[in-house]
Amino acid sequence: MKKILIAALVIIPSAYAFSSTSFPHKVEVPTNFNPSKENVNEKKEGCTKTEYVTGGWAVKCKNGTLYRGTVTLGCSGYGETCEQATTNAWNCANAAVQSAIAAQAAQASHECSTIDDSVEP
Amino acid sequence: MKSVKAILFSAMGLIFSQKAGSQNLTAAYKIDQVVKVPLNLEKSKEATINFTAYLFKKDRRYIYFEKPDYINTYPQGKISIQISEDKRGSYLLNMDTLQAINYCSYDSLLFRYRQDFLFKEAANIDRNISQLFEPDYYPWAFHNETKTINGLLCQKATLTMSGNLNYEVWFCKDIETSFNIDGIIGIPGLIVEATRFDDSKHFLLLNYTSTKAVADAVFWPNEFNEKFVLYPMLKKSKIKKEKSKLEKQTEISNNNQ
Repeated sequence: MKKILIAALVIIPSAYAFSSTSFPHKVEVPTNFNPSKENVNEKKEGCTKTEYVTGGWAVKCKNGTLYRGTVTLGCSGYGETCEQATTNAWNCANAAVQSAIAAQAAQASHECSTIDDSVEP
Repeated sequence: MKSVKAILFSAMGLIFSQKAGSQNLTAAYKIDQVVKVPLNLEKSKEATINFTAYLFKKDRRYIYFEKPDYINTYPQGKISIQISEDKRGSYLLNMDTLQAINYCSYDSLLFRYRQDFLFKEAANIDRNISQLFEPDYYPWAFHNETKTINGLLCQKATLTMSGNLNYEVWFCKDIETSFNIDGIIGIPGLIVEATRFDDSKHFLLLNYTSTKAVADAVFWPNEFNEKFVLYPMLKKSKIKKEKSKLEKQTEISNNNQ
């Protein structure tokens, strides 16, 4: 079976685009997304496809305030066939976005509880 | 003469029961949401996704939930746009068949709601929440503006939380309910039309009835069998009222006139 050749380039925007300006807290790039070396196509031959993926998150604070955000990431996937490259690019971007969403939502949830002074414990 | 009085009394009773205390309510809504499909890291193209939502009331219990209409249209869970031969943009969709589940009891003043996530592994975030509340917790601003929507006379109200304008709603006082779409409390009547600004979601009442029986099972969907986490009570005395930029601008504009 041919080795699956996946993501080579992960493009991470310098600042995440939040749909709401109500949540200005800085969110770090998720650490749990790290394309492993063996998935990188060293030869960079065949087909290249780039996929941009957007996903949103929402967290409700304990005081009832709802925070929402979106994140867009892109990946270039390489493959010996264009079908492989398409799949690889999508898988890479999807994984990156889901990871970023998880990190941002967790951060928002945490910030909610620390800044939330409008409810009693 | 007696029969005329009886008819009048019956008619008044019917009107009263409709306005002041219908025990049951079933309402359906159409929801349009504008989402942005990326063309690159900066630019995007808008697409619209749809939901059908339901609000049920039985005595003093309420439940609201949304069913996505896009599941069959996008079985892969994404809206994709081919940008060029080698580039594509995709918007990830929540493929849960029941979303935005909000339950409320006015006997115990208890909320139960479920937070929606794109995927199950979404960090360590509480999924099912229960929370006691004061009925007038949210700082709704009621406006004098009215408009008739599908034959129903509606009044405007807006909600601003943490300085952001969250909702604009148009509600009909004549249809009694204490709980509304999206888990909204504090609006004295059925919401007929609403806009949720932070994610461009628009709600429109399709139909409603107060004569249809509502099954008890409706109030406990399977999703509620998962663990609930109790959040602190929503107390009005603790909330900070902040005006949105738009409200501040309107206020300044009105003062200058």
